[in-house]
Amino acid sequence: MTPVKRSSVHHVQAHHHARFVERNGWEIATSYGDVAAEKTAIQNGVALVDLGWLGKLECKGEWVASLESQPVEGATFKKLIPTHGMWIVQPEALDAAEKKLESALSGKSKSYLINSSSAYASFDLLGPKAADVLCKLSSVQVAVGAHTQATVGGVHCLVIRSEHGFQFHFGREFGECMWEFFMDAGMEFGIRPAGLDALAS
Amino acid sequence: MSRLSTPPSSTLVNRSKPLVFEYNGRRIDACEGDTVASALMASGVDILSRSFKYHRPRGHLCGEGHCPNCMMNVDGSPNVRICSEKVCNGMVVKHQNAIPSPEFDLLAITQKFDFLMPAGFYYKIFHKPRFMWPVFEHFIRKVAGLGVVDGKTPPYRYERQHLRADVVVVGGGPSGLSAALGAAEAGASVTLVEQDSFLGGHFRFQNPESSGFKKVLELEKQVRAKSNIRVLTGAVAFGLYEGNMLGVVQGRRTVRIRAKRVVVASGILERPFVFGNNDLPGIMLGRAVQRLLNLYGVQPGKRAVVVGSNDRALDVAADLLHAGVEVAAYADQRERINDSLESVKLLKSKGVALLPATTAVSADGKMHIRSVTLGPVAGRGENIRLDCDLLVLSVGGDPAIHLVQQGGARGFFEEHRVEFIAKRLGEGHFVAGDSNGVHHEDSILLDGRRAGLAAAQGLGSVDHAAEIADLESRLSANPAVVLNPKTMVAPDGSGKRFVCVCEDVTEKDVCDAIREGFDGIETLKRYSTVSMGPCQGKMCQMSAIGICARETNRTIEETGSTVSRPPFIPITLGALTGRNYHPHKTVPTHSRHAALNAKVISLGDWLRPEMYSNPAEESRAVHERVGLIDVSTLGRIDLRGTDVVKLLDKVYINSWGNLKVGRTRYGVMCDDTGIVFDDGTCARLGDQHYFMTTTTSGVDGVYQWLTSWMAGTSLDVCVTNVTSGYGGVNIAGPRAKEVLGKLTSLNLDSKEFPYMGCVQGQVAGVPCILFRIGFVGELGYEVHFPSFYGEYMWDVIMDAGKEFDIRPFGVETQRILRLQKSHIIIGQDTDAITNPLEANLAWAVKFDKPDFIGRRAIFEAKKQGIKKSLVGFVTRHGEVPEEGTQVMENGYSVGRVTSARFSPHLNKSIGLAWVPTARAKDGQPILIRSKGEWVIADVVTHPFYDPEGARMKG
Repeated sequence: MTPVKRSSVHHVQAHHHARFVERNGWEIATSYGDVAAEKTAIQNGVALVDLGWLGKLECKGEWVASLESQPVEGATFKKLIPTHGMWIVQPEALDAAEKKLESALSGKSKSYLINSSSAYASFDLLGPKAADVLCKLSSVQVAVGAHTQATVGGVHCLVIRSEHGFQFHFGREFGECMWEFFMDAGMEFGIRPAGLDALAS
Repeated sequence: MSRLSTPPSSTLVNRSKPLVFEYNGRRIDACEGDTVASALMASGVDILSRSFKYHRPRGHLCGEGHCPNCMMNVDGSPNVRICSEKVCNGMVVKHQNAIPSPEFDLLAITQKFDFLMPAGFYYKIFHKPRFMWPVFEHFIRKVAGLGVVDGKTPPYRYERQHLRADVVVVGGGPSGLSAALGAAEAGASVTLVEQDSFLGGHFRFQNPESSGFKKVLELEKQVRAKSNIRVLTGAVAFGLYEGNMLGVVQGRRTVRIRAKRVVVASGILERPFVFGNNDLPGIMLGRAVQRLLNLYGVQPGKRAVVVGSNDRALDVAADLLHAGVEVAAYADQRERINDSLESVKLLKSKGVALLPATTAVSADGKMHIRSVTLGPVAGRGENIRLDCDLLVLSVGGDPAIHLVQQGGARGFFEEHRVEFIAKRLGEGHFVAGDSNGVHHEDSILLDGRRAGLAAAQGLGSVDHAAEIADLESRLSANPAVVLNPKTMVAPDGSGKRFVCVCEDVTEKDVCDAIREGFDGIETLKRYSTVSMGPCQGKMCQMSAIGICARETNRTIEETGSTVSRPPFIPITLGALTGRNYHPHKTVPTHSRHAALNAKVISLGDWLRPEMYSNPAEESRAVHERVGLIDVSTLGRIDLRGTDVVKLLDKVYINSWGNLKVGRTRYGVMCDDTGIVFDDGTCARLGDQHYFMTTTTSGVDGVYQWLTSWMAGTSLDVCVTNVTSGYGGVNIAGPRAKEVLGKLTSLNLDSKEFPYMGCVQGQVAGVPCILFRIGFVGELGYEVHFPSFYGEYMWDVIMDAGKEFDIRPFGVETQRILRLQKSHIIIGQDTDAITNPLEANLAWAVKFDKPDFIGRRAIFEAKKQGIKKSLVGFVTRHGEVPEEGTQVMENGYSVGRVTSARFSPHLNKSIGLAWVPTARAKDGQPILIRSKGEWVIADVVTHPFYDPEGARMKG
């Protein structure tokens, strides 16, 4: 057998008849059987997308202050506190990003880089109804383009808001129950899981 | 009572969409849009309930969800006010607090014994003789009280919602709509909260030809068109809390709204009038009648008498005439009735007797009003008696200022308006319309806009001060309208004169209580229970205050009012708590355990397999072949930096300076009072890189402990909780090395990878951290891998172990195996007062270290001597005592059992227990009291299985 990486909700996605492809060592859900409906949910309603395959590189210590201006291909930086930040990295760019940051780290005292890709589950909640779903689970308020840390459904999360919805990063062990929480809260808005195909189109 | 032949254009009911529901086993026809009350009244049901104490028949009264008269059990949910509950097809509605029915109630016998129930009767009678109280209590509880929770009804789904808004407007009536529109036009994001299912407030249920009705329709259209106004209908703001947080309940959903500004435009609470038999079915408030006529198309009676005190009452009388109801008379408490009003002209044209300075004195009837006696307001002069089946009371109301009062405002009584007005409002709070004592139709709209603009002032870039000033000047130019009469009590009249319909408190009860010395409004409330029922004073507070003022020769201002506290309306506990999110954790191999039909239990929020088959079979596999257990739930903390050893020496009681790379050590942590709070292992992966494991439930506490002790120091240590990042399994048993050997090229020889060794390397192509650890007492390898490989790793290990008949084992088997080795579990075998010396961990305490957390306390404990010890025991006759049961000596408890199991391998019942240190010797008998039986056991001070550890050390 070849090692294959699976997100924390892989078995839940399989239950929803997800179709998987292997990319960058991950089994990723591309659709749940109806790409058009998933796309409609993203555009007009609300959809839940698993992003467990995103890489995460945590930076700790004194060098965090200098990282916001550091360009890393395929990655975005989110500063959590002055001495703790996280790079969210596309899986294909993860190795290069890690190497680049390690070289940037060398010689810096009290500064650390930790690959936490396996520690986080990540979801996108997309669509015009995304805020309506989220407000059932959390009192978090975050502006478009900003991020914050908050409790969502009782789970501590990093919440990032885009113009299309919200992205959540949280402890991987909560993946299954967070999936349930979002799907349950979104039921009244016709939430549906969406795969990469709907996202790409 | 029946449906109007032609529904008004303002109706909410769609007669083309019939619905059916069940009331007390009877089929009731309704239409879409009906409330349960409107449908019942259209079907001729006029007695909706029995009163709280005297079981008097009660009918539709307020129609706005305030009074207790229409409370029923709807689909298993008690105390639902059916005047606000929309009909759903197939719903089941039952009466409550009447045997067998509201129409014929055996409990009405209590009316004959009303002399036993004066004000504060529970302080005076029934509690003596003392032994009779349980009998009385049983009866009183049966007779009094509200609905009963039906335990068979499945729990409802409750939800919670969090919203934010610049301005929240409470009340969707004319002033609320104007306020919302004003604030929205000023650029604020607005949330409009309306109790009813429709917008428009009392203008909406006026005659559809009225100017008010047309104005609110237009306002609603404008509000709906605004993208920055969120409208919540069927939602009641029940509390205004610190920081302008509003608690709102919308059906079974609790909405918490954080607002920058709050406008309260919740109108008035229409109130009844105190006169003889004022609680008879057929006596309704004016707004209840208008709702029935203009919203639901139901005719509430055939022949009506209207008693009013303001021009709105004239509109009610006119509406009745429009609906074909005969109006026998219109009595107004004012000295003069304005002849120029269109409504007065209509009444006169229809020959309705207009009686100024007249009020209701008493009503007659047994189960329904048959006649009313009217008399002069002054109390001197002739009374007249009129037959009727409907008496409408439209005698004003109290501004609904409860929310702003909760926010810090005070109610000041305005003598000329006869109502309490909110002043000294809290920061960011505004009041508008009827709630603000503004009752003129045009002024209500102007005041709403003024409040909306004022609330939005400063939130946007545009200054609206000029428009606000203009609105204020226009408001002052409009005439002031007074709704309320000078008194809320009729001068005389026969029959019970109810002040509080919720608690069956009469005027006599209130007067008696005052005479007994309870003449302060707060003590009067508590003693007489007036205003303590389901309406919480909405219907009765002003009457009670008025009577109290009259009886004590004080003004109403001097008498004061009671304090308003949340919730404004009764809320179910379910709605208050909302949906409870209790997140559980799943291990990376969760799906595999499910596929194996493991019995999964919740431990420290984790879902863990307790067993797959049975502990005997699973433990045999571990002892004889090989077993696999998921240990992903172990806490894991990554430590890096030049000062890790300093930190470890600080937080552990044992020493870490001499730990070599590739070695693991068991460690114990104590708090500063020397109490053991966690244990685990710590491995040195590199020169400045350590990997700590903690107990499953202790990792968050340990992480905080480490970081808190780091704070303020200059230690160079990077502490990261990596529990989520790793999955873990323990391959245990004599064939474990062979199974693992199939998957890795690492040298597993005991010389290269000895007991308590650790190594990093590839297992089945996956980068892993491996430990040789023996928690279950056999040769064991703990393998930690990135959690996204969880399913893969489980599969490859199970596959590799097939030829050795590998078995997965669960937590229950692990507990037996660790007990055989006398390995303790912190938190189960220890408690909040256990120091390491007592818990057989003295070997780990290194007093030769310069310092560690708890050192001083443990040292003192050692000096004072150890009085209790944790020991193993074997029961003589195979009993397994319950965990937590007492170890007894001479009739006293001297210890307790912390763990006990039957060991299939040893064929003995074994356990751990706290005993006096004098008893902590091999073979000492101890006596355990378990499940009411005596259990004799013998102390064992060494591990029950493989005491030398030869098997796990390999």
